[in-house]
Amino acid sequence: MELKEIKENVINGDMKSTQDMVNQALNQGTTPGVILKEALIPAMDEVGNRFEKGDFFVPEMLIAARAMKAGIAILKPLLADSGVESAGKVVIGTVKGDLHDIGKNLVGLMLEGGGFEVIDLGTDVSIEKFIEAVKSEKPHILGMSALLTTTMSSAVEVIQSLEKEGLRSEVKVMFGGAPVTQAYVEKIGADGYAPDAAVAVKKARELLQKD
Amino acid sequence: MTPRERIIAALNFKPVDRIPFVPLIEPFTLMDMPEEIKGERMGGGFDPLRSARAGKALGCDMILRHVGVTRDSRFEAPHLQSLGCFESPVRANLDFKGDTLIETISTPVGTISGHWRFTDRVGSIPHSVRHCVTNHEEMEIFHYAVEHLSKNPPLLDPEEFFQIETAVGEDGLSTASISNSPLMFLIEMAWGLENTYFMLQDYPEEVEDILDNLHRSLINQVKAMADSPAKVIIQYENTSSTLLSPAIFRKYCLPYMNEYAEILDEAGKIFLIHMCGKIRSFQDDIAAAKFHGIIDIAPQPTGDFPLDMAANGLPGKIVIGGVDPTTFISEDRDFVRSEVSGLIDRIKPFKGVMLGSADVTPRGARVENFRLIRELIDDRGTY
Repeated sequence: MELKEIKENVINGDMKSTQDMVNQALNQGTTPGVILKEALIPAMDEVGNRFEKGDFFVPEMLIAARAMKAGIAILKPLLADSGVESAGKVVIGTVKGDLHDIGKNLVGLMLEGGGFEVIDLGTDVSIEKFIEAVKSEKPHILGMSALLTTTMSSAVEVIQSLEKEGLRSEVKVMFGGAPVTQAYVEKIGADGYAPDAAVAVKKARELLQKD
Repeated sequence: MTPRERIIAALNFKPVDRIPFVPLIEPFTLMDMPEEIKGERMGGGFDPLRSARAGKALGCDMILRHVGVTRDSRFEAPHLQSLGCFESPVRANLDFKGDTLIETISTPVGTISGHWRFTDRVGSIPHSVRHCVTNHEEMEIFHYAVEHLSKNPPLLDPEEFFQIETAVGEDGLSTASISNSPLMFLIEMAWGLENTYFMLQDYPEEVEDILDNLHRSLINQVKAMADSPAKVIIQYENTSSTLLSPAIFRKYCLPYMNEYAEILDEAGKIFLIHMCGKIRSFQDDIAAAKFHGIIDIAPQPTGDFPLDMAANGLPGKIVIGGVDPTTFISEDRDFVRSEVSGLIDRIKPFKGVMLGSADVTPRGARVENFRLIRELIDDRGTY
């Protein structure tokens, strides 16, 4: 019963009730892993589905993601102890010269909601910083964002550097942003493109399943 | 027809000799252009005459943007005072630290500041990197500040407008600007997307009071525009489903915009809204809105509303834009030819339509592409 209510509260973006219900479920003996996998992640999947269908828009997605994050914050210390694994690790950032963060932040929130561990490098991320993060964090996916036609080419340079460093086969590369298209992503040799944050979660799962 | 005659005819749904070609050309667009096109910069900020000269050289009919008609007194905080200047005891202050611009609002109840940064890739438009409101305490300070926005309209000072109109002559038409509506101001200039929606959910009445204060101040700007010599006023709204839902647009943007439209319409002005994002979800609301048209309309990938769809779906509205930034920078001549010739054929039956850029024409736009688009218009877009 609580799991269904937690899910509904997340979908409705009710942060306070989500926190209360997560605490209540834990007190009643539900394990953190069950709350995560049977309430929080399905809730954000449903948010993503509604977004794709055009029933939800960015405001609804944002407040749902905030409620989900509040729930995950309660579970996080307990999840580490209970050996629950994330869906995968993703390093994200907006490419060099580009300070736009809205799309990147939304993708990060939705990936977290999808059970991924997200390392956000911020905006205006240099090629060196992306490479360093791939070396140190060993993510499954590197996600890059660009909003400007003048900064799109930075993603190419990151991919070339990954190849030069012998890291390209270690990590899947996703790239998105307003001027970016599937054709462009294919042309530059990235692995995945998503037109929005909801599709990004599906694409990330798909890329990791192929491994 | 001269470019000016052509633009004015299209704005009034009158016949034109060919489809007008009115891309938005900013200093950013010209950065990588050949010297003979970009010319010399005449001063800081937006330079309408430089854009006009470049546009003429590129074969465009120029709708000149941001031509001043009021005395700009926002120097201490150009972003945070874009809907009006603060009065005592609120003070605004501007500071630079390296490549970061810091605007601070000081009030008796506290101080808040927003940060904007430049990079070599974004040109002359800084991007917000730290919002002035990130929590309820900062929102209360902001609330106090907007309760002390000036009650006086901006002072009309149309000297620049007349100078530019004279210099441009028949090559184009000057337009004046107003800031985006209160909610979009919070999202884009002051609070950022997340903070705005979180505050709106947690403190709706307080946020609505802030919106009303901002609206009252913006009304002063609109009234000044109504008294100005500009025939066309553009609101740089940036409506997009990447920032708004139709329900939010309907509740918090459209009623205000309709009020501005009524004032400007009564003064005989043409009121256009800059909408360069994904706006297909707002089509019915835009169709029913009181403004006269939308400008800088974008197809995919940057938007989702092709110009022919706008012309067909928004009867009675002026629609301008249609050529995506990725087309302007494309090295593939066949791609540009195919994209633009198809679009020209599809928009030709409609009146009140002008071919322009989707949002601003980007840095890296190729001179050959401008020339090709103009050739295609001359070849297929004449009447």
